[in-house]
Amino acid sequence: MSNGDTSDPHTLWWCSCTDGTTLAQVLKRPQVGLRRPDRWDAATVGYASLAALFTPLSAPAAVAVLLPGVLVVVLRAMRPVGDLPRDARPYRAAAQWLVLAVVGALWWLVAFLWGNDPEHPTLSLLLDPVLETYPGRLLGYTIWLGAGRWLVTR
Amino acid sequence: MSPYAVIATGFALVVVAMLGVQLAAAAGQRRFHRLGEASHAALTTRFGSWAVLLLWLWTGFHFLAR
Repeated sequence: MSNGDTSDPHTLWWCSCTDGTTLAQVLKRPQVGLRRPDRWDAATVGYASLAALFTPLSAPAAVAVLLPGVLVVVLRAMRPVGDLPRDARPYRAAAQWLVLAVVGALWWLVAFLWGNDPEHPTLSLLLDPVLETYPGRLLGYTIWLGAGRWLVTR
Repeated sequence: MSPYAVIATGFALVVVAMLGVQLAAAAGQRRFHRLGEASHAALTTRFGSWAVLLLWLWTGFHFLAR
């Protein structure tokens, strides 16, 4: 097929100019980073929008966290963990993030021992102004539930 | 510099470091590894799996329900 010939409906003119890649081939490529939202994304945002109605330090908020929390733990226990990608370096990756987590935890401890009050806030005190608002809690629940889904689907 | 500013700056630096590692890994820098790679690796061991799940649960309770 010559450059710019669009008689084949599966051929993109801008792809065939370079390597003859067809639309079908492009669509079959694994997507990196972004993917099309599915019904579980909708369910996650739906649940988050309801759960965010409950203010922290209330029984409904505790239940709203407990329900998906138990579900994720049970599902994770029932499903085998998939294989790591072939190019994964698990020990290096775990060590790298463990160091970052320990540094964060130590700084948290510094703030806690320094005062754990508005003048010496821990991370949760710093985030309180955000999580006291509905949009902040909606974002928080969405991220937290998304992480839970990710943990179950590995 | 007030204690508040010192503490907030420290937390911000930790978050920036985490984002930096994540973005560098996503950009293909082989010296850095995504959080997902570390978490997936932890899930393959019994101890690591419970540690990650408990950390996730605690995060939810601490920030959203405490």
